[in-house]
Amino acid sequence: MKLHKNNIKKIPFTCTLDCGGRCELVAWVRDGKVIRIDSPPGKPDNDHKPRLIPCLRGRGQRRLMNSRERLLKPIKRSGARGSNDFTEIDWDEALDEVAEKLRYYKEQYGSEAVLHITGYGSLGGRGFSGLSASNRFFSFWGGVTDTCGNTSSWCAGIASDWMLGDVWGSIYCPDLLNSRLIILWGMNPAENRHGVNLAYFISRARDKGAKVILIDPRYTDSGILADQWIPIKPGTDVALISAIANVWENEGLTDMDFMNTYTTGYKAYRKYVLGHDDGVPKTPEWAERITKIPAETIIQLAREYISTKPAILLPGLGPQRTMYGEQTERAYITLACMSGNMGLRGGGFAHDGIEPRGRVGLGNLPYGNYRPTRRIRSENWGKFLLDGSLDPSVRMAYVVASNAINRSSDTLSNAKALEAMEFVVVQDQYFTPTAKYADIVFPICNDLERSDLVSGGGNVFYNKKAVDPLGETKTDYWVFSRLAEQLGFGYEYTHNRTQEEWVEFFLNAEKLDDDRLKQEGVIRGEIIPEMTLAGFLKDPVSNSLRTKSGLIQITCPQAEENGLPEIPVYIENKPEFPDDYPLHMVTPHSKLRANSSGHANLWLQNIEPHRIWINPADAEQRGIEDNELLEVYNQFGKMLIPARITKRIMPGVVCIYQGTWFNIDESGVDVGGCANVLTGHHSTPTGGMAVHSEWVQVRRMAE
Amino acid sequence: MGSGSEDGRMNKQVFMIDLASCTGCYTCMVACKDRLNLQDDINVLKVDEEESGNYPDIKVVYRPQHCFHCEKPACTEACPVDAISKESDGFVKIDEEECIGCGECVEACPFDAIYFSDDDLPIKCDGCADEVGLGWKPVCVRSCPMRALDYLPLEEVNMQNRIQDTDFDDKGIGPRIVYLIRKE
Repeated sequence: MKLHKNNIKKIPFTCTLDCGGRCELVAWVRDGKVIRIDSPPGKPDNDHKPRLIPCLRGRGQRRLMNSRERLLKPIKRSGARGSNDFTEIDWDEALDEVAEKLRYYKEQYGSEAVLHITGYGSLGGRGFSGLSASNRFFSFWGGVTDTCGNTSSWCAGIASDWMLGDVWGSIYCPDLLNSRLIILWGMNPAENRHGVNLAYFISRARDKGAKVILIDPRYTDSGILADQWIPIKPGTDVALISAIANVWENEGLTDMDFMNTYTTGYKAYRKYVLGHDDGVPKTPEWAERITKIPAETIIQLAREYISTKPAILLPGLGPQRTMYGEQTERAYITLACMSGNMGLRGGGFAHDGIEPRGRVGLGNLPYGNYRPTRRIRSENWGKFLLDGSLDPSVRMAYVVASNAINRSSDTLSNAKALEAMEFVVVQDQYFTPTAKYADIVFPICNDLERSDLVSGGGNVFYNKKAVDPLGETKTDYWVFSRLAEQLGFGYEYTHNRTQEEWVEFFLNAEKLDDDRLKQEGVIRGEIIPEMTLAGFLKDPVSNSLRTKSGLIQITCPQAEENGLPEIPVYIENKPEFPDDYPLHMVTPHSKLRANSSGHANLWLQNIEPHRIWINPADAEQRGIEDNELLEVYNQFGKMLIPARITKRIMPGVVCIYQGTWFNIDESGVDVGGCANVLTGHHSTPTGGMAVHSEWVQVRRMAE
Repeated sequence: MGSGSEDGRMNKQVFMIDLASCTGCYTCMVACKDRLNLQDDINVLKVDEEESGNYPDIKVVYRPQHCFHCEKPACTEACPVDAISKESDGFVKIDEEECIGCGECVEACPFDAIYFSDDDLPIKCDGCADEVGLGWKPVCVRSCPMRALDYLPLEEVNMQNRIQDTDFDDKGIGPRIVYLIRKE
């Protein structure tokens, strides 16, 4: 392709996917079409302001924009729910029908007969897209039934709340260059962003002499950045932590000054670890049986961790998506405290790696006064619709920016739940498996086809509309504005401003440096964030935490009322049918997608065919060959998926990346390899997602 | 940075790929694909995954590969109609007008770096020659989130903590590539 400089416009933007990064991209536009997606060349790349380099998901968006799965016109169901039978209709007809249904259900049954499900398809903007646009709409319309919970980080949030008074552990990336030991505990920054540049700074830290240890059932791509891989049985992290603590206590290595000054409740934990309460010392030998990690490796890890400073514990969000994930998260914080690294630059505990922050607080579009009257958990909403527990029942579902069937546990039940609805609206960019269960589907345009101001990672991005919406797609803002007009609150929703006019309004209100922002597409933050807990560590009395004691709570008063032990003890989670389904399944995020967003991008799909990871020993036992089509099944469902035989996963564990689109064949088997076909409706005690606590059996198709 | 030679000599820049920090994210592959507007099943920059060792002491190396614009290219030799040439900027270029689609170059390349596209013409990495000519780095280099790639004079390659990967067989034709691995 020739670079015709003259007729190519270069328009900066950021992508709004559900991801722990927010990167800088630029769209090349010629004759009203995006011809290329790039990262802006010539930007400086230094430690204080590292480049915000996009990953393949962001860079591949041009192919995604042109996917045949894109919805271009409103469609109306003409066949059974879940089939491909739809006819195109025009916007007026589609809007009229949905407005009429909303009116009908509110009048007949009350607004809570409408279930609003939203998701993370489009994030960070001011309220024109995705969940913010629809939350706003319903806040003016009435009290609906909505979802709650955070499928990403629920248990991590619980521990942060109970133990630290809602302080979230983060590390300013350049501080990693001070670290001497970095423990990636189920943390995979090479494949999934927890901060744009976390993986890069870990690699730099390693070059400066830091040792990196990966604790994970799989040798993820982050293993390449590690010096040592410690395979661990999923869901047993607390056992390993207890054993490390046991070694420290036995050898008198715990930082007691820290525990005595900054924490409360440690005595109870110490008793547990040494076995003084239950007669079972949590020794490395005890932990070996549970975690499958050799006792010698545990002892070595314990000694290395306590004797190397600064040492930082970087847990990912995978381990806390197991049953009792609350215990896992509480145990991390406890261990980090005991290690004597809190407060050291490059040490302590962090869930993500962050950049300088901005001072700009962008406004958002205003909300109305209604709030949802009932909330059901987002990770297993299907269960609540099917078990009759909702009274009055929900009759209409309105799903926005969410592939709700696909990404919540127990996909087949979710599909049944939507089948049973009287009326379903889906509002999305793509013809997702969820859209197939709708009565009316509204087609939404993508990031490059609309303007917005996006905040993320401490920076402000100006997404100027690069091209016109494809087909007859519209923004969520436009759709809800039309509905709002029909339902009598048009002015409240829009203030008679278009999306473009609102963007200008926010720019003026914040006195943002217009020219700079519009030309470069971003204003980077300048303020170097304070170390986690810095104020508290400096003066725990004046800067006490918002916990009961003002200190870090090792014992948590909230635990008992939630059915959990007051200290972070190991609780075994036994599989329900260990003989029928003996293999432990994990369902991590793939580097090829952001959850299910991007599945429709054939460039990315073709990179690595979707296969189930299985250890050679488990494969051999079943006579399985590489790439062979397998049946994978449990009490929740069945799927067909080819095998990837690899040493990168421990024996007894299989891995199916989540996010591929579910595709049921005539016999009820999923041929799309959708991980949630095999996950169940259980939650952790406080309501977290437990999708890494599932078991399956695997066999050859040929049988 | 910069390419082109002031005095007409072949350009002495090399592709540098740091296998110690390449985590196999495939961003370079997608960036290249986007620039060349390749069809879904063709990549001229591919990334191979190499798994070795015994569980749990295994090792994984991701190896990006593309045309390395050799000093003595096998493809230029093989082409019966002289449609492939080593240019003054150091890049090896296939002239689409002259090419007859015989596929000899595809066969000849010992690195399997040339592919047939859907319109039955050979396609390969072009070194982002036009962008390098403007003073940019090739798109694979500047798209890498780990900063694991570069295109630069050989003497400027940063060898701190690194040694050259001697497992890579250069087939004696001078591919302009330096793979780095960690110095233990």
